[in-house]
Amino acid sequence: MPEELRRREVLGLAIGGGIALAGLPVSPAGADATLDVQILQTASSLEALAVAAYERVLASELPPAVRSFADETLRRHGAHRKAFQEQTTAVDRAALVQDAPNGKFLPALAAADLSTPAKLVDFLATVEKVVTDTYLTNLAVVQDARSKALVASVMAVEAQHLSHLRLIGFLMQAGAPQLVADPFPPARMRDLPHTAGRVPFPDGLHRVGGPELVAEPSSGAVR
Amino acid sequence: MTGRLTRRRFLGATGAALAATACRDGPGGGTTGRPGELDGIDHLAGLERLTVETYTALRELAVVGRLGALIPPAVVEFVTTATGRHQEHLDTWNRTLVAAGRQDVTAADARFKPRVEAAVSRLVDIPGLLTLALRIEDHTSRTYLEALPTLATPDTIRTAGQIVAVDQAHQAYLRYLLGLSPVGSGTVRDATDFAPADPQASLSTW
Repeated sequence: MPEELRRREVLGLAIGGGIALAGLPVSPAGADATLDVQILQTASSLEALAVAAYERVLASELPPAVRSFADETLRRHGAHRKAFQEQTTAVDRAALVQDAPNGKFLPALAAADLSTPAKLVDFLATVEKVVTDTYLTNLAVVQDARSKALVASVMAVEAQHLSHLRLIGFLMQAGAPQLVADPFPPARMRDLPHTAGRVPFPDGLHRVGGPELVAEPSSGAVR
Repeated sequence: MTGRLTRRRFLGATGAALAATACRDGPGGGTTGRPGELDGIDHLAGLERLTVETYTALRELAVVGRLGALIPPAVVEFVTTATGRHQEHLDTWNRTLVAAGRQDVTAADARFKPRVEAAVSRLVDIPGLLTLALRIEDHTSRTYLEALPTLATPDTIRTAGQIVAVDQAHQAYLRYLLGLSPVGSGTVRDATDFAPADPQASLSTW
């Protein structure tokens, strides 16, 4: 894939790609950059965690539609990690980039029960929930406008991942795994349970989980 | 900044985020945005009002049978749910505006309302309904994401982020029903290629 497309993929979802970012203020100097760097390093660590999670899931037996989704999502998380790493050094040229999975959640990744497709999907949804919630929390903390735009843009993509995993999990639990398809045939829309139109978005305002599901900036900071 | 201060900055935001999301009231509980932000919120509220009106019109079309005799239940449920979600967004912003001494927003975005109404009047089937809904969700999300880096008040930023997450979830569902990759922007078929970023583009091309 051309590099330009990859960049648009990461930055372009709803914020205007390079065009929007080019108009934003430059990085903050000094004090505020310290926490911004930690936030970006931790975001990199969460993306590394997500990559590891999807790699582990992809090593299991998977329904074809779940496999194709996981394949594509794995690739996206890799692109997000690269974007956060690049932004880390854009904020502070001397900063170290984070390439390791987030330590707070790594034990949960190793211990996850992936013995059934439903458990696999639930596990991935939890990973996406952690990532989405962390980025949402950081939006109000990060000071550098370019970094904020990046966090928001990636959060938007993760929210789509989370929503789709919720739908897949619901269809599996509802005894309708045959309706998990890639691509979904619109002719089968009538077969979907009516609650499929509500389950993927349980709240009007996305509800952040407890602190145990949020990665604080220090959790992925490189020292 | 010392480690203590940076930690305080994060914990303060985290605590507020968790408190805000726990009570689901967003910033309406008395937070007043800055003047520039309030203008932006006014615009966002107008878009939310437009979205609510559009979903309401789509549901009415479905009920009267103009889009076919059998509307898939999962589509009806989505339209009903999305109407409520966007009404909640509108209510949240209106609480912020009123708390800051401004008028609440009761009119839909005037720039796009005629185009959206014309698009609704042309609908003849369910894929058309879903495509229109996706276009509006995409436009709204893009507008929020463009606004986010310019917002300054933590509660306003957080609320905008919470709404973006929900609107993106709506898009993922709509894209799935249309046979597109669930992850992407607008109706672009290739999941890896997002549409141009101009938030006006998705509606102004009608």
